[in-house]
Amino acid sequence: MPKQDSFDRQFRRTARAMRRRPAPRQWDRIEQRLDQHRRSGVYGLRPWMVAAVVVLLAGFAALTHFSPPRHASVLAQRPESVEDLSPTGDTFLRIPDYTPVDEGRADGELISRFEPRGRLTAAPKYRL
Amino acid sequence: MGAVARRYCQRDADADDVLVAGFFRVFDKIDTFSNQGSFEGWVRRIVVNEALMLLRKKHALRQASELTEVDPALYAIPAVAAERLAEQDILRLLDGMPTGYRTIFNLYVIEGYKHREIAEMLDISINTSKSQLILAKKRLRELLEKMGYPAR
Repeated sequence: MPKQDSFDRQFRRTARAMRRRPAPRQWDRIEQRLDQHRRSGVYGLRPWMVAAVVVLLAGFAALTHFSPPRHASVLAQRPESVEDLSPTGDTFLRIPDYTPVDEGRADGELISRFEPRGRLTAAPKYRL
Repeated sequence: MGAVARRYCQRDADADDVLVAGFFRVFDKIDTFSNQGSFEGWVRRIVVNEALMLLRKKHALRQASELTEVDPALYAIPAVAAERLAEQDILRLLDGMPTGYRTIFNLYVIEGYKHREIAEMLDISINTSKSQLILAKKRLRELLEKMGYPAR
């Protein structure tokens, strides 16, 4: 309670003693409002609950409608056609048969079939 | 409680709306009332809150000025003025004040709230609450003089 002067105290006493009887119509309004409130609460459904459900459903529908398919990657897709890999016959390129390299001479000198002898030198660190 | 609502609202129709909303809340929340305080005080608080909500909804509490360096003693009113004050004149005096003055005068002088509590309730500063009370008393003194009460 704040510190009040004597005017405040007297004013408060008189103001608090005032009475104003509400008209019977006001009690009817209170009763009506309570009835409405009770009726709206029968199934526990309030307008905001209905609105929330509608928003959730709309959001779910929008997500499923506009979102890209889950397996969008090319690699994840099923093949639409199978390529025929059988040889066509005429344009077949044959790989030449393997021919081993000559083991070289007995003194250990390397012989190459494609490089001239002068260009084949050992790396400096392997030289004696 | 009808008189409480009427003290905050200048129009009888608004006071009736506050009373209906207040009693609806009382009946709806009656199970939350704890027996620690008085039942009348609990109902009164609800009605006052409803009145403040209505005033806020009508933007009646928006403008509030703040005074600097004002001596409250300059606007003190002698107690003899209140001793002779008739009940019907109280409403005339309150109606003669702007909404901001009347609300803070009601909350401080009649309900007994502190300036800190009023500031929280109305979302204003403590200084604004104090300033509004001083201005309310200044206006009250002018009105009392007009009505023939000894106000100085």
